[in-house]
Formats: sequence, C-alpha cells, structure tokens
Amino acid sequence: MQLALTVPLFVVIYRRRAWAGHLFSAFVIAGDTLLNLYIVDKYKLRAGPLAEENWYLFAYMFQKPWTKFGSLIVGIAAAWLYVELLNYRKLEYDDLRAQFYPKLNWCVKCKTLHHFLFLGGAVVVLTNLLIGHSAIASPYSWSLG
Amino acid sequence: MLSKWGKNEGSNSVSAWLVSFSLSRCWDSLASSRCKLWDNRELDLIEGFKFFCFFLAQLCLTAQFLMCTQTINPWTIEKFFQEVAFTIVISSNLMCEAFVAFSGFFGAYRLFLLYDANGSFSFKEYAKYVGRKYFRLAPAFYVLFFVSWAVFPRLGAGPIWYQASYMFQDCDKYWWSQLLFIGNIYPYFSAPNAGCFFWSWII
Repeated sequence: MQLALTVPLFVVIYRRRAWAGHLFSAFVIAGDTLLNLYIVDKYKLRAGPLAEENWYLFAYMFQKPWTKFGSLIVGIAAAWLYVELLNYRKLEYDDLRAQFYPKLNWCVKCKTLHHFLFLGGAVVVLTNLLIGHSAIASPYSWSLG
Repeated sequence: MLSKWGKNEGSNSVSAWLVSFSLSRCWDSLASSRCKLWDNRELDLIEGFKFFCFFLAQLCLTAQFLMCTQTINPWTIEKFFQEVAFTIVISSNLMCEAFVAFSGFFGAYRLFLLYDANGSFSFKEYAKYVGRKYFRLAPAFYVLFFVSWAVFPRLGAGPIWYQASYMFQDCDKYWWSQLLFIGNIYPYFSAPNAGCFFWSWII
C-alpha cells in the first residue's frame, strides 16, 4: 500500500519524458542500493538469518518501504516496456515495427535472447532459493568480506 | 461462512459482505481472470506468478511466526535449518521482492493506460487509484488483524500458549497504526518476535 502511493509519480515522469523516467528510476535504484549497503554495514547484518546481529534485520531493512524501491521500479519499468510492446503489436507490418520500434523489434525477433532470458531467469531463481543454505545452517559461516 | 457454490448469497449488504469471505467465493475469485475486456489474457500468467510469489512469501512468514510463538520447539528448528528443503522456505522471503515488483507492474500498467486515455493524470484520479486499492484490501486485512490479535490467542491452551500473542503484544498501544497501514513505520523499531503484526505492511 505504501509503495503503491508512489507509483503514479513514476508513471507521470515516464509519460512526460521517457528518458527522464529511466534516469529518475536509475537514480532511485542507485540510492536504494546505497541505503541498503549502509544499513547492512551499520547493523553488521549477516547472510544467515539467525545470526545475533540480524535482530535488526526485520526492523530496519525488511519492514521499511524505502528498502524496496529497487524491486518496485523494476516492476514499473517492466510495465512501461509492456505498454510499448502493446503499441508495437498494434502495427500490422514488420517494416513499420522495425522502423518505429527497432530495439523492441530486435528483442522480439531474437530467439537467442529469449533462451538466454529463460535460462538466466531459472538460474537466478534457483540460485537465490538455494545459495543461502550454508548461511542458514550455520549463521556465521559466511565472512563479512 | 461456507456458501455452497457461491449461490446462497444474501440479499442484504451485510450477508453479501459476509459471503465475500466464503471459501467458494474466494476460490472463484482466485481462479477467475482479473483482466478487463481490453487487456491481453497473457496478463493472467503474470498474475499467476504474483500469486505464486505471495504464496512463497507467506510460507516464509508463516514459518517465522511458528518459530517465534506458541509452537516453538528449538531442537526441531535447529534440525530444520540443516535441511536443504528448509533453505527454500527461509529464502522465500526474497519472493517479497518479486511480489513488490509484480505489484508495481500491475499498478503502473493500469496507470499508464489511464494516462494514455486521458492525456494526463489528475489528483482526482490519484484519489480513485488509492481509494480502490484501500477498499480492496482493507476489509479482509482488518478482519485478519482483529482475529489474529483478539481471537486466535484464545483458541488454545498450554504451558507456552501465552506466546501466541507475542507478535501482537504491542497492539494495545499501536492498533491504530495498523488500521492506517503504517505499522512498519510507527513504531519505528519492532523486535522480530514482538511488536504488533508488523510484517503485514507488504500488502
């Protein structure tokens, strides 16, 4: 609910100037990433959720909406791209599609990209779900770097 | 509460509201398309992914709840953490991120269409957007909150059953912030096994 309140701001900026929308999104994602790094460093949060330091994990990271802006903006940018795709599909002829949406046309036609995204997505999901096993089994097994 | 095939809906508004919590009505709502006439049905697929993310996030949060309250058994939990399958349960908290991304996608998609149709986006439309979301979520959320806070802890008994209310112990003071959907911001700090229903903010 809290994050949803900010979505119209991004939509309006995207619709005024698409490049400004991308720039603003990139700026917010960068700021959000730095903020998350700062929180992790300040409270010495660990990869293992049962580490003693992670007493603060929920309160200062998981619960706060400003640590989720990166994920939200990925969704907003995807929606912008999807609306572009819908406009692309409305064009009947391939040459018009290639003329008005050259990058999107390449993405739609490139089978290699589709396979890469599919396999890459599967690898990312499986990695994220399983990579933390040793840190969960033993909270201090991962170094702080 | 269980309306048979959703056909014995009440004629007045109160019974119609109660029937909206029936299992068959909820299943129908879950299984039916949320696409509008002008939407491509491929959006149902993305909605399905969103539901799956929500399910995994709930799996993780439920495990967290059970680990911190009246069903706690430290020795069993210690054994769970050594198993690879349980890693998926704990790592499912990452699905909250995916859920946020899908929510952002659907919200922005509707707003992009609205903006393109009207050529602008007024404060009135913003209020409508917020109001629709609030009225869609608030009734079920409030019922869940009050049942979890006031009813659930009274449904059992046992040596450690008092822990059933651990994660609602500050609700006497902060129930109003839950009603306003700001329970994660006020109070600013909540211990992971205390506070007042703090994990609900993600909706």
